[in-house]
Amino acid sequence: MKAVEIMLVEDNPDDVELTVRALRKSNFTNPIRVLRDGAEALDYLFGNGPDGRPNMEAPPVVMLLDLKLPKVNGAEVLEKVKSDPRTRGIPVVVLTSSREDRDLHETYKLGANSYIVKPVDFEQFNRAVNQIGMYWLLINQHPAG
Amino acid sequence: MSGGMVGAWTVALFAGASLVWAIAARRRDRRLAAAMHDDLDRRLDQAAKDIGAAHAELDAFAYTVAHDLRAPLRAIDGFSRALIEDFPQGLEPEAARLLGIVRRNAVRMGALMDGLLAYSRLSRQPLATRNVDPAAIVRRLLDDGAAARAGRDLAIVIGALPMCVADPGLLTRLYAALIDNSVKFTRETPAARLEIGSRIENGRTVYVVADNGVGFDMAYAGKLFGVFQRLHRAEDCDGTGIGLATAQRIVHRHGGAIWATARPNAGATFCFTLGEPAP
Repeated sequence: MKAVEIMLVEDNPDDVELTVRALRKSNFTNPIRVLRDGAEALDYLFGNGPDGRPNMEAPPVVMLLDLKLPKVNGAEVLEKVKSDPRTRGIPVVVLTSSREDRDLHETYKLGANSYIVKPVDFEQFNRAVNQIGMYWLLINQHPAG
Repeated sequence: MSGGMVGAWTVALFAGASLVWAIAARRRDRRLAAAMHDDLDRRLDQAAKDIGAAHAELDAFAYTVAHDLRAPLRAIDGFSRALIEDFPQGLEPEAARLLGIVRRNAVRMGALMDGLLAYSRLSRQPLATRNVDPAAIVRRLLDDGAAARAGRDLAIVIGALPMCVADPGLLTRLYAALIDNSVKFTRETPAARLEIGSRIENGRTVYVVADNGVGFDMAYAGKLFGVFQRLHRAEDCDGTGIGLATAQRIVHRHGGAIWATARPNAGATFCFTLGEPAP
């Protein structure tokens, strides 16, 4: 069985490294596809390669999405993902630094499956990433394809 | 013309002239008043715009603090920890200790920023007032904090707490801040005592939270409610210095007043009112 991909949309390379590290420490070996801004994420999800084939071969098992991204922000990516029948089924976990309520309300309204505030404390960060992994990769059974 | 006629005419002339002058003066006064009124209107408009702009700036500032300033802190803590994890055999105890200090400070700065953000949200969120029972709030807070007080020699007395009109969430945070404060500053006090009650003063209910803890010198009372102001050294107490500032902001939003009286090593008494009850 081919291991399913985790999609990580994050512009801060340090956060990418910490998140990847936390997932690996929690023994998740799934390939991680990192996209560095909202435009890159949308191009991967909906765009076609030079050969005319879609960039995305199979939907990721989960998308970890930072809210504050260059070019196209996380909320816009979320809105597009949740309003397109091809991608609506992808669980989206919003990963953000923000505790601001308006972000929380907005992302849930747009259809985020969960919302995790990235803690400053690395141990908390590890636990948060571990819980995301546990829930979306192991417990949550979702329709394939 | 006789002298009398001249006198009468003069008087009439003066009277007429002074009447004309008075009317002109009144017109001028009215114009002046209208001009001042216009000016006041303009200034009020400008002030409202300035306040609106200040709020928008504060919003933007809080958003920046929430998003952008936390990321570097996360990296400082995360990579310090990675260093400890990846080189357990290579790090001497002293190096590990120093890295521990780096991490502790990153986490502390995160807590300070969270406190500041919560504080700034206080003035931005709308007030949702209704009839509230402070006694229920206080009992729930004391129940929630019971585990943290386990083993402490601390007697808690709850007196009369009349119903009030307040935002229940904010009143909870107000009492949480005052109770936390008292619990913290009675830590070293033998036979510590915390009294939560009220009294009537000039027809108004004054809510009171009093303890017999370390207290403070009234010379510093002016600093008590400032953001990040602390009257105790960091090693003597934890906390971010935001609790009493939060309490004051909540009381002010309710149109009330908060004050404290204390003596060093003889306890502190915090009093607050909540503005006029709704009719």
